[in-house]
Amino acid sequence: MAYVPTTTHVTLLATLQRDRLLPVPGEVAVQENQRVDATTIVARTTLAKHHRLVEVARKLGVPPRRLDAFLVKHEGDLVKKGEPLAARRELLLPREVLSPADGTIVAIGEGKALIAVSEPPVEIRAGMPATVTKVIADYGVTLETVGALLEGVWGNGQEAFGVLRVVGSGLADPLAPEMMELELRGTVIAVGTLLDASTLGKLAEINARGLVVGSIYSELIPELQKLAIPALVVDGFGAQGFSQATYTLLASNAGREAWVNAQTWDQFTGRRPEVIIPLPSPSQAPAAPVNGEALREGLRVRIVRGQGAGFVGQILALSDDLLFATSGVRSRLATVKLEESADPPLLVPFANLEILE
Amino acid sequence: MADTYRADTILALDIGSATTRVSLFDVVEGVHRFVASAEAPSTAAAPYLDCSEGVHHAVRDLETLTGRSLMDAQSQVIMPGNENGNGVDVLVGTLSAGPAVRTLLVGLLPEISLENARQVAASAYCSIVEAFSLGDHRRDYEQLDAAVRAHPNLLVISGGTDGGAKDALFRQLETANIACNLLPPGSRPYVLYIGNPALKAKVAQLFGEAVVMSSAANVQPTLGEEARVLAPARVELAKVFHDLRQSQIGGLARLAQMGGGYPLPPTALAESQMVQYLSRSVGKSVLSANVGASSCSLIAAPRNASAPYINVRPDLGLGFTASKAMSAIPMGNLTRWLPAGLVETAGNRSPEGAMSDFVFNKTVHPRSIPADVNDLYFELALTREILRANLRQARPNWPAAVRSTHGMQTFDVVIGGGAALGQAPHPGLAALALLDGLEPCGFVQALMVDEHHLLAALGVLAPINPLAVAQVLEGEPFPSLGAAVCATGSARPGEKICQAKLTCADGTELTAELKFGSLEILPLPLGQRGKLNLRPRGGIDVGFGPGRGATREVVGGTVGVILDGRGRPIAFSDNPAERREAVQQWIDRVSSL
Repeated sequence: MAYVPTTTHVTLLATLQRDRLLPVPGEVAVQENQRVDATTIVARTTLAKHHRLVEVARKLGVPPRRLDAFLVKHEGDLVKKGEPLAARRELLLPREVLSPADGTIVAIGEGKALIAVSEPPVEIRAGMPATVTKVIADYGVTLETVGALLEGVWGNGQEAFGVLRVVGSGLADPLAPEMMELELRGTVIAVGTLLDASTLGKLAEINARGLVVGSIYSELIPELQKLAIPALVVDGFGAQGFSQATYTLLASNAGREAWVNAQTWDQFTGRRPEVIIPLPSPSQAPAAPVNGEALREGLRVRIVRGQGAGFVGQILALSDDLLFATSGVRSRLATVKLEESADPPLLVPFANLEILE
Repeated sequence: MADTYRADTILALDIGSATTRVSLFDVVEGVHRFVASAEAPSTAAAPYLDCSEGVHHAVRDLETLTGRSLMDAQSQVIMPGNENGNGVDVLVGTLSAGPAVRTLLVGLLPEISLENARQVAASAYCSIVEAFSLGDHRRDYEQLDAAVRAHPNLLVISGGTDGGAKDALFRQLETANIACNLLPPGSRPYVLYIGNPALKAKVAQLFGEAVVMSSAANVQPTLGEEARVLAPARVELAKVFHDLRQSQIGGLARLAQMGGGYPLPPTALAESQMVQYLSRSVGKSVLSANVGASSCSLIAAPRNASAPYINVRPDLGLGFTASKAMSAIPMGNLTRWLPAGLVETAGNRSPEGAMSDFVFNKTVHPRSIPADVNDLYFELALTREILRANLRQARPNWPAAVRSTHGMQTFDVVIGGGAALGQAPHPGLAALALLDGLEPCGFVQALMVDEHHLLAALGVLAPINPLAVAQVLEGEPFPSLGAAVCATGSARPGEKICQAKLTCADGTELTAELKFGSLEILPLPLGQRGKLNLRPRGGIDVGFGPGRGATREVVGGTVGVILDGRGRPIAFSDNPAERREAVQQWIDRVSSL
């Protein structure tokens, strides 16, 4: 029986493509094959969050069907607050209907004018150095780079690009104030665990660009959501810290620039929080990451729940029949030999494994 | 001789957010029976975004279990079945996968038309993101901004009786229409009109080509709750739901085509059809509760009700939406279900901290299953509180017939579904979670589990082949956990509140003395019948009025006859150690047999 679990990428080198898209149509600011930096604006638009509906005909005292003759401004026109939208120039009773806000007239009909209140433009930046491989008209681009990819499980919705530093000496070392030395100023800090909020203020003091953490106590989520910098949890919730595989990837790339995109994990679309570390491209482009494989003997997997959670190992065997897990729940079980461990293999429910790629 | 219509072998699919299940029904010795079921991880989400692969894996597993060929080399279901027993004659499906349907309701009075719209939307995994009504005192542009911000997938318009108000509803719609036009083409909502039919053409004209609009009969043709007609609107919404999902998930069109062109209805709607069918066929009130990875559905079919009461919460799931559920459930409510036997957690984490970490880990790994006993206790605690959170919202809409004088609920049959209940390591744990989560009162004739997720399959099959459904039900596909007697009234902990005597068919007599705050089990094997005599103390109600006893026939189950003396609502000690000890005793009592 084919069992297809989630694949999590802890990939040392791959060709990576990412879409950078506007939420609503706008203007694409770059061209195909163009090289871009992390800060390059690739697309921009205006996103009207507020509108005003003005009853022009009623205020002017004319029937809606006759409004056209009195309009001073028309659909698509920019207007300033206090500027007349329509005017009725009669000797005895001149009247004007004024715009209630700066904005654009998006529609006029049924005697009313709809004004989209001006907002600062929404700009989408590249996020990382890359090449534009595709322009998606009115919405944005597909970027391509070669690099390391680390997928996480939770993000606070922010993103940044900066030099990666790994602090602490172990997989589960907690972030502590004494780790926040001045040499970390302006960097992305990777650390095993975050177990209390007292160190978060220090991140702002040293102007950290981002935080990548193996695991956190889940009650710290509200605090991380308040941060103005990206905070990305790689392995899960609790005190287990990084798995060896993620720690090795981060430690081997310390000192390099990394894009921390701490977007929230949308399991339907597959968008995950991730760290991309652009690397020099070898002569032959590496393969793209693989997704959607079924469990099989020999695969490298990470245990996501219960005994051995966070550990990485290799599948030695897969059961065909339903067996009892330690909890008493019946499930198909995989025999997993943990990496760098002399312990006997563990029996793990298929459902508690993810493929590590 | 002309070909006769064959509908012997039936394959039912259910595509959930986490799991795709397939069930096979066939004719055994002249009658339809449930044969086997299998499941595989769903592939409706990324990276596949196509449900076919999950269906393929589940059907291949079913082939292994049954020894039959159901798919050909091109992964097409073999239809019709052949004389070798391969293939199937009928394919039906239901669907709950996909993100919650962001829904904007528009109506006149909040308590009538908006409530009607909500009742309809509740059958299709809708999350109400905005609502406009006469009770809304925001300015029109504030409503507009709210609607644009909400970015709905669906607009449900309800209001006005037949021949009733038109202008007031139309004014509400003008703002909704402007909001639709401000959304980018391609992401505008589907519109379902279920209001005053006199306004339908004008509404269609207002929205024009910008949206896809459907309509159904007015849900409130005349005033009064008994005049409410929900079924046609729910059926129409099921079609809209299918269309919306077809634009999000690949492979659905092909599945629908194989199933004879019928759209795949929402799983909860199909379940509700079966719950209603069960209620009507046995003349009893039935409550069904399903806790899935993304949502929780609660379906109540009181005796003689014209339509089932459906309450689907797409924000209350045991997987993808577990962390959202935390916002509806205080942490203390979750941890009160943790027993004394909880093993010390890593790093001496507090129960609250460990519970919270569990919920967030479950959210990011929604398919994961309990790996150890602690994990199991956490998962069942969350299951209980998800049920209770749904119940709090659903109960006020239920009729008095299923609400006792204590404001609690009384049902003859309670059915639990979803992996946590259906695959609990001991049936007693499933029974306890149902009693704790739903707190039924009085005499419950049967607690059941939908172990193979058949309610939805049978519900969608019922209109196509009602005889097959009736025959499958005769085979008792839902294992009974047993009857339950749930006492209400107050007493001191440990005080005797009811004497029970069970006389089995072979004449064996078993007795129990139920004390306040405790549970007792009278063993009665699955399918065996017995007579249960109950003699409650004054002021204690076991379903026949305070202090009144009775003798009732009971049918045994995998747990037995459960006597629940914990009161309603279930009373907890304020002392944490005593509370944990009591919870441990409840667990031990139901799972030690």
